[in-house]
Amino acid sequence: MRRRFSKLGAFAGIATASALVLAGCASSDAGGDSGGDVTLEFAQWWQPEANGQLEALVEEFEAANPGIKVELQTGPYGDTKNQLVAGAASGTLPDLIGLDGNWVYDLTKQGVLADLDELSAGSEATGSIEGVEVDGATRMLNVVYATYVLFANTDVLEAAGVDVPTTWDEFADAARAIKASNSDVSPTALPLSLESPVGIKNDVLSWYWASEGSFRDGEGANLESDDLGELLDYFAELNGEGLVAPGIANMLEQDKVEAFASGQTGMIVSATPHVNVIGERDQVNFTVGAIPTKDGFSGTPGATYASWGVGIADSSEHKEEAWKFVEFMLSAEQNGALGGAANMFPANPDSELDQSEMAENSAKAFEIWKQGKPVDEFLGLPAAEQLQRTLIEQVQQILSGDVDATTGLSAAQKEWDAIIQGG
Amino acid sequence: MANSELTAPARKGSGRRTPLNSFRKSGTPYLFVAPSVLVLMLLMGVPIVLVIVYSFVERAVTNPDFSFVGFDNYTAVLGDPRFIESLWHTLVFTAGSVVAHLALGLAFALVLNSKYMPKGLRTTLRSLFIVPWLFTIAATAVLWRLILHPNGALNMVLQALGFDAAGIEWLSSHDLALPTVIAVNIWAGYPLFMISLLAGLQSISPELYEAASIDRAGKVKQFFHVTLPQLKGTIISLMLLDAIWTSQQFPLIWLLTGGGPVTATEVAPTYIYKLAFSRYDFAQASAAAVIVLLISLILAALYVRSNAKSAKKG
Repeated sequence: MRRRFSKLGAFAGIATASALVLAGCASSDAGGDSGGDVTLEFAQWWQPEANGQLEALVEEFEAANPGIKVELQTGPYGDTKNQLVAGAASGTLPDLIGLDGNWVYDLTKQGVLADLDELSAGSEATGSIEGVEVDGATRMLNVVYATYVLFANTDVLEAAGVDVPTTWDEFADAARAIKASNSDVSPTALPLSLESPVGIKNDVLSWYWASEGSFRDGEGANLESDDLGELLDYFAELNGEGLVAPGIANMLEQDKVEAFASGQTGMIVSATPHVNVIGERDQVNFTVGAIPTKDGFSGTPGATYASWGVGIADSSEHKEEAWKFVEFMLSAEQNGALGGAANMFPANPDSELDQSEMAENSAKAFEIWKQGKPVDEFLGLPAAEQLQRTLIEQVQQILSGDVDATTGLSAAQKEWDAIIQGG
Repeated sequence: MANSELTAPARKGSGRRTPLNSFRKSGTPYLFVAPSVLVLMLLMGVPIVLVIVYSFVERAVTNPDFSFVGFDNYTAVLGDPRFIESLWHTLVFTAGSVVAHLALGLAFALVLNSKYMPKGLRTTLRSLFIVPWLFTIAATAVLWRLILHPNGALNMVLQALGFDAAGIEWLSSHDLALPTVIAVNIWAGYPLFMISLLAGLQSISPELYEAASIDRAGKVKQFFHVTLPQLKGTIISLMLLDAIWTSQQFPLIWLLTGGGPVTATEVAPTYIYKLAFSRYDFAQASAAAVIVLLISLILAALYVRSNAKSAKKG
């Protein structure tokens, strides 16, 4: 009898332990409020790139706001959105959310993001800061920007006898000259892997937007424009001449940057924070310039950008405190410091970018950014990542010569219509 | 006292046959497995049931107010030529990988089991052949991305051997991508077969070979009439397990090609991932996942049956 009792006891013990573990899991989001303190959870991917400034910002905020603590939850960029979608479904969202503007539509439709206009009522501090609106309300505020510029290996250009190109024709001529002068160097590279489809925006559409091209058509999109077709034909021609590094269809952004940093590629379009990444490798001499525009273009060039944005979870029980942190982070002083530390540009127009530690090429890129017009036409469109993927599939075929640009863009348009209407 | 303790349960049992008594007799084993069943139900049963439920609603996960739509999601997925193409690629990927895993694994196991092999060389080869197993899938993908790059090691070696291999795009070419991904998966997976079959070979009684020799059977006949029949159970189990695992292979393909170029290496898992985490259509993704689950269940049932047969034979 005692033996049976001990078996039952063991089973009960295991069941109790399991229940306690589950209870522990279930109540984990209720923690952090002991003693009247509020703990804000801030999920983002910025911490490693902010070079310690994010921790300093949190420290200063906590000192200025006794009773509010901020817990940084840092993860890789690629996982952040999936975790937010899953977190929204399971009710385990952080209070503050680091955002990419391309995620805002989907997360708003899922009911994840709070109306920042409502929270910021009366706030002058953030009034001039650009954000992303969905369903008539601001859901994300930009914190810092990175822009895309042309990186050119000055030794390679010098050996080829060409200057940094500023137009499509000059770029094609420079690429041909590089190929003629050094067959070991690929003149340029296009990372169009389906694994991470950002290449279509950063490396292809950035050229289109630079010459004031636009595919937005009200709430939808129109890809079937002659200008976009012309650009894709241009890239197909460069690829056909062997001026683009091979392996386009499975090249990732990091492969492109690595190839440039090691001197295997002569010219790439890349984000401004890569100035430091490439500079630290110290293997090549390089400069930056604006993305080449179509010959004869004389307007204000569009400057493709990526930003770190911030939003507040609609499910947060501490929205007011979270807003206080957003205001603090976007204040002129803090915003400038964060931008300077991350080699990005502050979203607050009153901020003075701290350029004291900035590389010469970063300062050049900042000037290019100021002269351009910020553009990212995927903002406000549903399933932006899937839109980019479907367009990449067509561009891969156009570049390999399997279909012409008109047919490819028409096929992409059909898929985009289905996604946008279904979104 | 000891005697009364021993006889007490017998007296109880020989009395009335109450439900409690019969539960005490037959229920104890179930209590032992109850914690495992509970954990399995939580970790596997709940997600599977959720996915099945999601496959019958209009909008899952992203919209809490979802409504029942019957088999609409299944109709949509089965009507999508990309899903059918991804199933075909999954079949080719799985069949190619499993057959090659068996051929390579058996060949290496035979080499390592050969009595003509010096002990030192055998140990060295065993360590060498098992190397792919030491790599995680992510490391395997990174390693092969570098080797297979158009300017990578493979093309350089092929060129050094006199082949015209300059700039071959193993992973970016529409025609080469799927065979290349299968080849990488073969490299990553053959050690399991090798080790299992080597253990099987070592357990075959030498008397069987002696008897075959007396009957004047040569090495080839011995292989087909002694070795293979003796390994049959192991081979069937391994192939079924490998088919289940390979048909669900996601990370290797994702990290090597992302399912591209275009749809050249799109398999069911990458198709489902894109539907769920790129298009945010969790309902259709769930329907596709349930279809793949049913196919896997058939393989699992065959595996269980094969194991039961082996157990019966003893």
